[in-house]
Amino acid sequence: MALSLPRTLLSLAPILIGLFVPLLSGCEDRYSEDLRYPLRTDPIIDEPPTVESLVPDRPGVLPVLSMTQMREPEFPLHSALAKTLDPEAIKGADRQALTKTLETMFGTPARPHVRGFIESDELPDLPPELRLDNRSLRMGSRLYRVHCLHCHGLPGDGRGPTAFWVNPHPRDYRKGIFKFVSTSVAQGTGQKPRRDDLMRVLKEGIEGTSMPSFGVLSDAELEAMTSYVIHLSMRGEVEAFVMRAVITGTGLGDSGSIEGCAKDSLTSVINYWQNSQKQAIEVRPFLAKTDEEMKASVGRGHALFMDEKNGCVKCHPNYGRDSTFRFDTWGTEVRPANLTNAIYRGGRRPIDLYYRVHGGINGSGMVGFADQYKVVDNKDALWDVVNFVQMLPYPAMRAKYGINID
Amino acid sequence: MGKYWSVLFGVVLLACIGLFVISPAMGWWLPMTVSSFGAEIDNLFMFILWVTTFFFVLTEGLLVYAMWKYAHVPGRKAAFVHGSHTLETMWTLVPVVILILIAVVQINVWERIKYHSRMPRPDATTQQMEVQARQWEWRVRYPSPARIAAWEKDPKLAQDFGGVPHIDDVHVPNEIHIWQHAEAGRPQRVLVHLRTRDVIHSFFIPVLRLKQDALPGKTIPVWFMATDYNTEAKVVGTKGEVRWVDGFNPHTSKFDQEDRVWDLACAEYCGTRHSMMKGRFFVHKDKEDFLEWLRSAEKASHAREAPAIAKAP
Repeated sequence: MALSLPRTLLSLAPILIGLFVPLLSGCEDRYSEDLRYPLRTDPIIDEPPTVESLVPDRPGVLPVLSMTQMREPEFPLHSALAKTLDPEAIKGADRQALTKTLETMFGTPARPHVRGFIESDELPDLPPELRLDNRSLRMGSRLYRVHCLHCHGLPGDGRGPTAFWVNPHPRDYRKGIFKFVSTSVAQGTGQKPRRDDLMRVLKEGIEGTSMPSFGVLSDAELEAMTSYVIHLSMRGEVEAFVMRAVITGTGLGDSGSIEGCAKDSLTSVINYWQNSQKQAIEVRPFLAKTDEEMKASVGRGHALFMDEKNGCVKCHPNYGRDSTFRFDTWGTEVRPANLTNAIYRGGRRPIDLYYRVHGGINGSGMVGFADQYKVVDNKDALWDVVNFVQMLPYPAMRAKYGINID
Repeated sequence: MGKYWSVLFGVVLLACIGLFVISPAMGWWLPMTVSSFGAEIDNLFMFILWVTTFFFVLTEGLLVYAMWKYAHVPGRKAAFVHGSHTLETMWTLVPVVILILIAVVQINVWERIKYHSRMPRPDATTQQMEVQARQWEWRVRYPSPARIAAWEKDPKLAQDFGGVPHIDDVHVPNEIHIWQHAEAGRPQRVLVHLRTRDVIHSFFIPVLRLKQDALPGKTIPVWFMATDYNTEAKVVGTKGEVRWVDGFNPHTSKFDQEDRVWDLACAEYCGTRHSMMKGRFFVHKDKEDFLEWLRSAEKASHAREAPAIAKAP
């Protein structure tokens, strides 16, 4: 008996270890200190195809995962190969310099920072309104690891482990383009969201996608997550910019070095973010106060919507029910919203629709109508369109305002 | 080897019993009940727990005893036993009787809580909301204050709320708000139209002892009444901003009263973030307070003006 007891325990040991190792290893809620942000490997899509995709292949699915996939003739983005850059083309010293530069600027997942300078102190201090201080970023990185990482991925590339099972796919922050913004800056990479816009997405989630609401977290936690997302987005944008410059052999800038190029890029990215914080869309007062005015406004909105030349119907045929697929900036097959089903990704408040019509939806192909829809004769064309679109999903409202969509 | 296994099993048995004994004192027992039918559910739970405890101790005790007594002794030969008809009949019949007993004991409670005939009518006296589960959140749709007022004038209007979204509905993710006192001093009856947009979820409010699966393609009615409240309007923060808070202070991110924070959870594994599919259950004292909250939520969810731009700290 004296001999057999330890042997029994020995035979139990693998079972016990097998049980406890996964349990204990899951307890850590921060990134390991050794972890580094990986250098980008998926192709940089410079220009997505502009053709309409009549036979959608994989709508809503992550576009380009690897160059190998791109080279297959069946791949939907195959024809766009020429406008795509392969990060693997950066080799040797360039690669090392890029890795080192990015790490100096943005730190590691466990210790993220945004350093607006490399070695010298030439750049202005980080704008405080962006809240990119180290404390926020570190708290944000911890929360990001728990709540966001599995979809949005370690470097914010939208390619986390669960990303491949959700449709539409999670946002890739590295392009620096966010869809639902309330800034009046011209569309494109310069139009960054205001912090409030990102906070709202976190609080409300995005209906019709897999982005849930994180409203049960506290305000401080959501603020920290917002800061960290901005950090990831800046890192991704600088990375792609430098890679593009190195691969194409142009645009390394005055300094001609990778460090200098990254610095220039970060300067302008920070400027974009900073400018966007200040330039909220000015919302014009809502004029249709009475039922009569509302009815007139909805009627005018309907006419504007149906305008053959410049109206919404051009992209949202049959009120969006017959929309066709096309490629967005990320190379994903998407289509203009069906406006009759009351699912609004950017939010369902009238003000959200106002922002969408005013400034468009970044990266999606939806353009802004701010210049086109003006106030004439105490009639606000923009609010007219918003009022009309709002009524569309509700049969009772369509009956009330005399809209026939069938 | 000898008697080693019998000792191990005996220790496990004692540890199990010990765990149950100390649980209530350690705060590992059931959360508080604020449900009209909470006591009945808890009684059923305790009844089943005692039945299983009795048989667990009995069978484990027999097992430990047999392992101890008949442990291997060098030289002793095992007897060949082919089985016992009487024993086998017994351990089939006893569970059958117990299961039938449980079925009989619980049927009244089941009937009172889950039967469709017991569901409150969607009229002016019932509070209604639609809860739509999806991976991984709860989206709650409330009737607007104006619509609730219209129902009081014409109760028939309240009937279509479950199936038909209206333009003036108030959408709030992850927060169930109800009020406790109805006019006659009785708890308010709440009717939830439960739906899911993707997979099976389960609507679970522990303090209500309420659990109901949400099945794709179906709208399932769920009702309950709360016997206590946890939410009031308070000025939190430095700007004099009024927020409706339970035991959690959203400004300081701290629990002022942890047992006043009531969870809404998903009780059916539904994917990666299942464990994070949490919401909160806010019970307002009376309809007045609820309506005031609803008006503020309505204002936010139908905003036509940009909110004031927050200043950097």
